[in-house]
This record gives sequence, structure tokens and C-alpha cells, in this order.
Amino acid sequence: MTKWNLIIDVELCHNCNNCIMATKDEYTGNTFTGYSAPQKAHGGDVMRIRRRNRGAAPMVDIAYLPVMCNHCDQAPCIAAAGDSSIRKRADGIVIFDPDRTRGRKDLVSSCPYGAIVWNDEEQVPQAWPFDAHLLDLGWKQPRGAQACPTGAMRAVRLDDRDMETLATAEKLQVLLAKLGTKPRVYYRNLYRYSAHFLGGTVAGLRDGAEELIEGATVRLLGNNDVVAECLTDGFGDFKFDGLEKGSVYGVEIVSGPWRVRTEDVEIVESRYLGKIPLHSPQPSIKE
Amino acid sequence: MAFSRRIQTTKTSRVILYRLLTKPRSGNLGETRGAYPMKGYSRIHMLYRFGASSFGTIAQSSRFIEAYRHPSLEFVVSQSPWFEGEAKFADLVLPACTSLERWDIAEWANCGGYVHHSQGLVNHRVAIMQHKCIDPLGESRSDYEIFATILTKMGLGALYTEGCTELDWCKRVFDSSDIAQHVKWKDFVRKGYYVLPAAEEKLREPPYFRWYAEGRTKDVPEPMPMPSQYAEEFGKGLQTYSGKIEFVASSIALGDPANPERPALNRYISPWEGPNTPEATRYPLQMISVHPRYSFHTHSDGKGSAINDIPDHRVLIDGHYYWVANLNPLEAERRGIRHHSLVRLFNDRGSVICAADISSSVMPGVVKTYESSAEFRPVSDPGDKVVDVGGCVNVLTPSRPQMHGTDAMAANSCMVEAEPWTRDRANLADMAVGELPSPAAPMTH
Repeated sequence: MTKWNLIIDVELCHNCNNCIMATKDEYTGNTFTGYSAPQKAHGGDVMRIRRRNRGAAPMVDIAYLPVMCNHCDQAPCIAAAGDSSIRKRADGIVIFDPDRTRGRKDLVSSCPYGAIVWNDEEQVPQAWPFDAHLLDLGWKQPRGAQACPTGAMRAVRLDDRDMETLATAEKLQVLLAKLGTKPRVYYRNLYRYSAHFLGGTVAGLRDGAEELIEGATVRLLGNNDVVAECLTDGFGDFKFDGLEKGSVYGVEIVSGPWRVRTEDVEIVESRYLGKIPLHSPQPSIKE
Repeated sequence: MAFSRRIQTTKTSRVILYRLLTKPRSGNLGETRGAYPMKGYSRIHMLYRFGASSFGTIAQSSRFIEAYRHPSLEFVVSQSPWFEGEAKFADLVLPACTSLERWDIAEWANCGGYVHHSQGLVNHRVAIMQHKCIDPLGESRSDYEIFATILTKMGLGALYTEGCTELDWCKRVFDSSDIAQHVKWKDFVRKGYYVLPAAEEKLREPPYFRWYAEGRTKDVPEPMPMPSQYAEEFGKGLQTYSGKIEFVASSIALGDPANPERPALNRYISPWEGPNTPEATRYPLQMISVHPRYSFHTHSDGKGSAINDIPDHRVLIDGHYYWVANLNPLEAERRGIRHHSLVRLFNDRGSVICAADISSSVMPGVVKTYESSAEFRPVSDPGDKVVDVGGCVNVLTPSRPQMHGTDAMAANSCMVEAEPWTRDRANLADMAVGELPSPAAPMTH
């Protein structure tokens, strides 16, 4: 039995909000009997984009994370409903029956992802229904995926074993996996949102003038072991990404006869070490 | 140097002709503005305005308040689909319906007089029929019907309409084009569009700059240089007088040689309002107001549209969707401004209330926001000048052009200060126009 899954590439999402607008267009003021009551024009969007800023100028980046109902296989909302007013379809989609969930404001807090919104006009809890009413008519993709200009969002219909293989091959992750809710929404490059980077700029002296050093070898050291290695780019920049909070790293830079070792830093959030001079006799990073 | 010596030495007559052709409208340095009204002309007594959202788009736009309230302007009509900022200043508002409530016919990407041959940018020329989806809401009417009604009252209705409805005109435009030979009117209306077959190879427009690559004479229409301005071979080369890439622009060297703000050899000139000018002591933040990302100019902003809910466009705070302004965390902390709290951006020209969005993507010393808010909602705030909660940050920008003698707006040469703002400082009910404070005129350059 094949089931629906959604795959979102965090690297490709640039916050255009086309998915949000398309989903709003689909549900605002429209009744899909058995699938969804009309959603509100404003407030209570069932799909949202979260933003995370990392680093500081000049090394700064922003990641965008579209979030919506995860269509969990172990859905806390289904357990909380206690009846069949929220049901798991054979194709994996979780559907809130608009009539039978009416008045059940208590269900909003049952979702650990905050993906259920309360519609005060219709007095129903609502979540993104995977555009099941369209898929049931033969649509290949939900509106949000169809409207995505970068292909950051796509729905795939696979049996669970194939999906597991795909998730392993493409290094897909789910949100809050430790909760054991088994989401059907997967993310690629989630580190861009959830992890941190350590970066810097390497400079040196040439003919008495300071220049940015391209092609310097930079090693990321964890416990004095080399964890990763890269070369500085044309701006002298290097960046190690996907680092976990609480981990401790140092950086070693080698270029020609020069060698610099920075002090170890604990990763609290993404960090730009600033300009690291290669010519200094006792190099250290500026705090 | 690409600047042709021949122009400087031997083509005196051509220079004089050029000067005659391009006689500066406002003097060499823009100081001597033409007298208003021009000799022999009447003052403007009535303004008939079509659309109403320029508070968001024109530099130092509070000047509109002064213009609309000027005693010499006796009557203002606003013909608009939305009750946007300027409509509030009208004596008479004629509600126009939206494009969804009227018939029209057009060609995709053909913006008429704005850009010539602009439909050449699309892969296929497409004629489109704009269906009227619903009847005009409320008392609104289509622009055509409004004009027809007025002209009928003036006894000119038949001349204007020629007895045709909007749909009749669409049919007449259709019949006047070649499309009528390819598709039946009924089929065209039913389908809503018609993709024009590609023209024969020999009739197609030649590709731009192919002439340059192949060293031929130009074979596509180009406005510049004008026929008299070719310094080298007529009809050949790039759009400069010399036809070459010019490091010293001969058009400026000849046309505006003594303008210190626009030297013929392009170089950096520090701004007359910026981080190193006197304004910066009181207003230390440079405000950059770029084109909005989620609306097209004022189109689809405000008016209760869906994009109001995009938190990088507007933020809902206490029942009102505020325009977003980005601040660096350092600047925000220094001023006690929290993420998604209200912030007053201000200078001597006025104040605009925005929702602060704290982001490390903005440099310290900079406020980054968008121009083109479609909402102008002036509120009272004692001791202040214009305070807009709609988000028209152009209230704060200087009216001076980037360079004397040009028309380029200098919206990014703008210094402001930011401070936390609370709603109770102002009465959020829109002020009656009569109570509006006169806009300030300081901080001019």
C-alpha cells in the first residue's frame, strides 16, 4: 500500500510564500465536505514558514522552514480526539472531520508541533489536510508543492519501506523525531534551520598590505581530532555547518609556511570568528 | 578614452544643436524652477485623480497633503477602487470597480507607450480576454462607465461611447486585429485567450545587439543616440554618442558639463544626507526602502489582501497590520525595541509606525524596509508632524533628486531615528483631513 509523504528542502525554500498563498486560496471560504470547513481569510493559516537568522554580518544566513500538519502515523491528535472524528486514512493522510470535530478547541493543544489552529468562525480545529480532496480527484501534487517555484516542496506516494530507503539515501529528517509521532513530512538539509555554523575570514600580509587569503586549508578540530576540512574561498571565508549546540570546536588554518590554531569555542549559536590574521606571531581570535 | 575628440573640437555646430534639443527643463543645476502657473496659463482649479496610493511611492510624500489642501485647489475628485490614502483628501470619491468586475481585452506583456515592443520579451504573443467575473460591488462602476456617465451629462456621451458598451469595444478591438482572421470571436471569448502563431522567419524582429556583434548598422528601433548625436558612423555602435563603451560619458560632458553632482567621469560622491552629514547626529540610522517583495508597487498590499498575513510583509499587532521594518539586533537592543513590537521611524519630515523585525541580515546603522505601502493612515500624536500607521515610509524620504538637474528620486539618502511606540500615544481613529498637521519642510537639500 503506497502512502503520501511530503518532502521539503530547507535549502531551496526562500520564503516566497507561494505555498502559503496557494493553500489559502484553496481553503479560504471554500467548503470541502468531509475534508475541510472554510478556513479564515486572515489568521489561523494551516501552513506557515518559520525563519531562523544565523551568524552576524558579514557572515550571516537565513533559513526558512515551512511547517504544517505532519500527518503523523502515531498522531497525538487522533489519540486526544478519542473517537474517529480525526482519522488516519489508508494512504497516510490525517483528516479532521469538520462536522464531528466542531467545538473541540481542546484538540488544538494536542499537537506537539502547533500545527492545529482554531477557527473561531466555524468553531472547528483545523490542520492542513494534504489537499486530500484534490489528490482523491487525481491530482499528483498538493497546491503548495505545485506553486513552489524552486521545487523545495514535493509530495511522493510510496510504500513505507521505500520511503524509509529514500529518507536514508537523501538524509531526510523529521521534526522532533524523539517524540515518536512518526511524521510523514520530511525535511532535507534541516541543519540549515536547526544546527549552527562556525566561520571566519583568513587574512595575511603580502608586500606589506593585508589581503584575504584564498585556498588556505582550514581544519575543524574536535578534541584535537580533525572533524572536517575545507579551503577558504576567494573572499578568504570558510564555514563549517551542521554543528550541534553544546559541542566544542577549534579551527586550524594552514597556508604556505603559516599555521594558526584558534582557541576552542563552545557552539551556543552560529558564530563568525571574524578576521583571523595569518601574519600575527601569536594568532588568536578576537572575541 | 572612448570620448571622441572630434566632438570637442570640430563638431561645434552639433553641440549647439544638441543644446537646443535638450534645453534643460529646470536650468543647468535645477535651481531655477519654472514659474507656476506658466505665463498665459491658468492655475489648477480642480484635480481629477485616478487611483489613490502615491503616499507610498513618491519621495517625501507628505507633500501630497500640502498639495491636496492648498487653498488654490478648489475641488478634488478621486476615482479609485480602494479607499487608499489620497482618496481621503477628495471632495468626491467615485468608486471604481476592480478589473474582476468589468470586461477588457489586451495583449500579454504589451504595456503600450511605456516600453516599445515589450511583448517581444515573451516567448509567445498572447491575446487575452478579461472576463467580468461578477457585477460591480456596491455603488461602484467601471472606469469606462464612470467616464461615459459624466460625458453623457456633458452632452458628449455619444461621441465618447459611439453607442458601445465595454464588451462591444472589446469586440471592436478584436475585429480590428489580425486575430479575427484566425479565431472566431465566440471561441476567443469562451477560451479567454489566443496564442498567436509565430511569425514567419523573415518577419520576426531581429535580435537585439546582433547588429553590434556583427558590426552592422542597427536594425532594431532605439531611441538613443538621436540621429544628430552620432559622433562616429551613423547607425552603428552602442547607445553612446561615440558608439563605444565610454568611461567619460560624452552626453554628460556636452549636455551638463558643469554639474558637480554628475561628473562625466563617474565616481563616488558621498550623499548629501547620509551617515556623515549633520542629519546623522539626530537621526543616526540610514533608512533603505527597497521595492516590496510580496506586493508589486502598491498592487495587492493592504485592502485586506491575503499577503497581509506574511510576517515579512505585515505583522498583525493589536488588530492592525503594520508595515515591517528590519533592524539589527544591536540597534534594537540599544533602543529597547523588541521583535514584532511597534517602532516609530522618524525625522523632521514626519513619523511612520512599523512593526520591528529584528534581523542580523541588516547592518548596524541601517533600517531596512520597503517602499510602496498601499495604506496611508495618518493618526494624531501631539507634538508630532504627520504620523502614519499605514507604513508609507516615503513620508520620511527627501524630495531632492539624487543629482541636481535630474528627476531620480533619492529615497535611500534618508536618515531616521527609531524608538519604541505604543498605541495609546495616538488616537488610532483616522484623523479627519482638516485636523492634519501641515507637513514639515525642513531637512531640504
